[in-house]
Amino acid sequence: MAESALNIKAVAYRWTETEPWSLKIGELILSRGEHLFISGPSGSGKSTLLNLISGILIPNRGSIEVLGQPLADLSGPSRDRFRADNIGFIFQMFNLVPYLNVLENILLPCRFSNSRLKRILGASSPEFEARRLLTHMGLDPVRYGSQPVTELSVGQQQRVAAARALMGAPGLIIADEPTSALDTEAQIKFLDLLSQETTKSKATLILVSHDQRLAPYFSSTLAIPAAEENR
Amino acid sequence: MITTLLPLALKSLLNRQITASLTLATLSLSVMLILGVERIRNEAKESFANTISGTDVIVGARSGSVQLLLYSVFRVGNATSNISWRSYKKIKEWKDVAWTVPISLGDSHRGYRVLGTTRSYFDHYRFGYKQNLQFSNGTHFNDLFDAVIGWDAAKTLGYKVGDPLIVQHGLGDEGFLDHKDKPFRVSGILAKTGTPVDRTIHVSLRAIEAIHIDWRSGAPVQGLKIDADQVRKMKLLPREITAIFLGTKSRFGAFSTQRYINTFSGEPLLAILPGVALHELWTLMSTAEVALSTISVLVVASSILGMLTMLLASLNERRREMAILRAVGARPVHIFALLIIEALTLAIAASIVGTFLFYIALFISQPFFDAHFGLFITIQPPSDLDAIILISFISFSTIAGALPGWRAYRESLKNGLSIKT
Repeated sequence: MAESALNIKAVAYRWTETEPWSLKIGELILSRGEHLFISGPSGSGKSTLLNLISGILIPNRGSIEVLGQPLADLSGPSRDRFRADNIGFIFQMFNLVPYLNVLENILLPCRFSNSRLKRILGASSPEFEARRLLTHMGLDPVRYGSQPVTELSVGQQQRVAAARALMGAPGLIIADEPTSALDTEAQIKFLDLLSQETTKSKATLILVSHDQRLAPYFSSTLAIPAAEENR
Repeated sequence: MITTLLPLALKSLLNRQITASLTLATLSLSVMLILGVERIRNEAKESFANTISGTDVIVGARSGSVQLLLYSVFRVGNATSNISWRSYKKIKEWKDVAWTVPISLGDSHRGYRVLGTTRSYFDHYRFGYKQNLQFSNGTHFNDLFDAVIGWDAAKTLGYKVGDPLIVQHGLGDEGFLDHKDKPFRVSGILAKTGTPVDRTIHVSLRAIEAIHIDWRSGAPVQGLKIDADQVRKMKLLPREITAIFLGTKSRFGAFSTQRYINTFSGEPLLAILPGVALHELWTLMSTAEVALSTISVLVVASSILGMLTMLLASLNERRREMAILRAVGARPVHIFALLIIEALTLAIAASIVGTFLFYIALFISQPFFDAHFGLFITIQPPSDLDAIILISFISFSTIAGALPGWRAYRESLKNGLSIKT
């Protein structure tokens, strides 16, 4: 059996010893290729959960396995490397490096992760792959490829960010409120493109949003209750 | 790592064009300044040390060694008293002495010192790396009233061979008493030496005697008039000279000669070794030299601090950029290296631009230094010292870049991937 994409057991996290738990999760198992929607009001610990999955925060209790790798077994620098190799990120906004053009932004993950570069080199070249992903995200590489990212609309920027997250086929895509800055129409379009492409690259998608209307697009959902009920 | 980060660093700097180029300008100017100051300092020192060479001992009336050096070699200041011709002849006969050049100072021509000497001056006086004086035009003095003038004097006064020249009595400006009745003629112009010789008018010792023949105690004697033609027929023997340049038969001869002269019984005399006295004089000026160097080092230090300020100030507005880089896989060490590379890039660029500016400045100021200070700065490729200066500059800048690098590193560890705006 293939390892799970995510395996969280009895995880609890709090910022300091004296504080109440800011997040408690009994069990969360995600198989590969699954699309998970995480919702919850602000302050419920959604971001904390993402930081735990990315290995930026270490849980006080419990264990987290990402793509079969127990994060607790990794040192700080190896967690950094593991994250660079296996997780693509999309944030709410300001995803792009302002002084790089569209294609340069998409190519960034291959510059910092050798395994993401190698996965591309098997079948294609990084530049070719970047153009392909950009096309799939609905942006013409000829027209947009060498444009400064500052000239793009927010919706276009998010699509570039999505293409970048998919570069080098990381096993896990984490999207943190990626549609909050978009209008409804753009939200639907973006989600469609993102889930299509994630499915194609067989990646697991974890998307966090406070907006319950997005839930129907996902194969599974997790609602994190408000912080008070967590205690 | 460098292939990833260098393009990023360059593009990031270009993205901050105004602050980056101002920082680059500051750094470049400071590089130019320190290269310039060091070059001038060395050239001045070198040219100073090479003012006189080949002369083993300089003799004058008893005073200070620096004073003797100043008036005999640099034509600055005056002798307090003279050497009698008798003493000169005795010294000339001393066993270790190979050659002597007597000189007589005290008159001037339009601000240029007139030096009375003999032909031996042109044979034995040396400068730089034991170079002889060369004639660029004309010859030695043949007639009693012939004058051989230095390059700068000829150039500034616009004199050519054959031009007349009137010697003024004393060292004052025009309007002083002059020796109108016995005009000189330029017989030769010396090639440039880069030493005080260039600003000297040379005449024969006999001519010095001749122009003063009808003078007593610094003024023409009333009623006594001996004109140029009469004086030519007279037997002219100098009574006094100002100083003697002498060469010894061996290196050690210089010491025994010095001892002999310093304990000379006829009159109080002073013998100095030019190398020692030059060093002593240079030490007197070394405070200025050290001050100049210190200032230029401080200017470089403050320009590096300026760069540091720029990089540190930029960190705040670049938090988002750093977080994005972290999210696409850059590790904290990459963020650290990125800032170090930015500092390194600025320092290397400043070294190149600064060196370029330095050569332009050298090219422009060369005639100025030559004309005003008699300092001829040769334009040559960067020296070892220049290389050391540039390498230390780049090293210090890079080390300075570690501070913003370290801060960015700490920030990126602390902030994780969250983008705080």
